Amino acid sequence: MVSTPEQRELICRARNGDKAAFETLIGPQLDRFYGLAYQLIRNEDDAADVVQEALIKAYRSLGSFRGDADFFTWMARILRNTVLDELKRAVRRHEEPVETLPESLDRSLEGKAEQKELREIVHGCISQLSSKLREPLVMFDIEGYSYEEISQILGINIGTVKSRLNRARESLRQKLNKQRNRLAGWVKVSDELPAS
Amino acid sequence: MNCQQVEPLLGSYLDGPSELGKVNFAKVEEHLGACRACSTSLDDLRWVIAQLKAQPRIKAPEDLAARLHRRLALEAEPPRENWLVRLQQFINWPSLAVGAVVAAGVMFFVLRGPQPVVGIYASAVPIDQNVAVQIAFEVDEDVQGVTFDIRLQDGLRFVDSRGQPLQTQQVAWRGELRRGKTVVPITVRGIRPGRWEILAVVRKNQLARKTHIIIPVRAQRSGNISVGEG
Ligand SMILES: [Zn+2]
Repeated sequence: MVSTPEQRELICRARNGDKAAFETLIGPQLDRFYGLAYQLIRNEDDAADVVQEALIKAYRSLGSFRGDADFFTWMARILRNTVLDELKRAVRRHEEPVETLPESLDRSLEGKAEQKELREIVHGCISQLSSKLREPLVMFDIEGYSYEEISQILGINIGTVKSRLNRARESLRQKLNKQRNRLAGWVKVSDELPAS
Repeated sequence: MNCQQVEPLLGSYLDGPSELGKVNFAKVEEHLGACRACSTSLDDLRWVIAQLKAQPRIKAPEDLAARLHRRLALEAEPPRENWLVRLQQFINWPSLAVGAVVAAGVMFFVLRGPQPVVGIYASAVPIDQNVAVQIAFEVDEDVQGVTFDIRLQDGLRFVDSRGQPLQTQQVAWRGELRRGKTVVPITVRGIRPGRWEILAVVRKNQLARKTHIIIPVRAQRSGNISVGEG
């Protein structure tokens, strides 16, 4: 994966201080950056702050971007590190792990209450996963990152990405299974979870 | 295979025979045909993945781009005259170095006519000690649009602002040279004994000038200079 010629041109201009070029570069990726930050932090305001902080960091360190690397994964790596810092800070601030049930769900969604509850339960279980398992799960299954991208962002090989992803899914299945009684109300008969 | 063996393989099973290998895939399949509990687990896993894939894609708040724009506007633009500031972001300065200044490479840079490659030898430095190196560029007139490129051989690493070695072994940036002498201080560390080279290249259009600075790195214990492939 390499940057396209257009990206390279923009990167070159951004490195020389052209802020508009930098904004043109990252504009189309904002949703993906925000989505990732949100899924890992589960708080809208914090996610927006973290994305902004990460992008400023990236702008400042454009000089260290290697031309042969993929720009998106380079940025996502900076974002991921900023998210981790934020999560550590949050732990210190509240002296409690952030891996509790999320309070905030996408407010823009006007879906059925049951769907919302389902999502809450799923996310509650995701947030109980260790970050080692949660990251590849969120990136691959929710945010649609490729194995290759995840491998580069997390700095682990593709085999490890796959095995962590499978462990994460399996662990999630077991956690959801324990929530059977909460799920029972709306799970379709054909999809019904077995008694464990 | 029994249930305990099959359960952790279900995820890979969903990815197909290429993930699990044909033999294991067939074994899991055989077990699934005979075991209701495991095939239900597999259905659950499919359901879990479907739930995840069905999570709504979150869009960035509408004002995020505008907020970023305002925030960027406050960012100091890397000043063209003072391009050294750019270098400072990822290379350490001598004042922050742990070790002493032991090497000084001086490069006289004139953008006219052919010029031989300059090689400078520093005295040997111990392994794992940070070493400040000054690379000087000298020109007799202002030169715009110059590319600077500094590369380290295998046994050397750049050092970050906390004095820790970085993975990076090459930095390149664009800038200007002002008339007179410009000194670029960098800090490196020898991580393996040998005679290692810092290659500094300055380019302007098709012209390039190279300086090789040789840093002999000696193993701490022996105190001898061991000669590597340099
Ligand atoms: Zn079984």
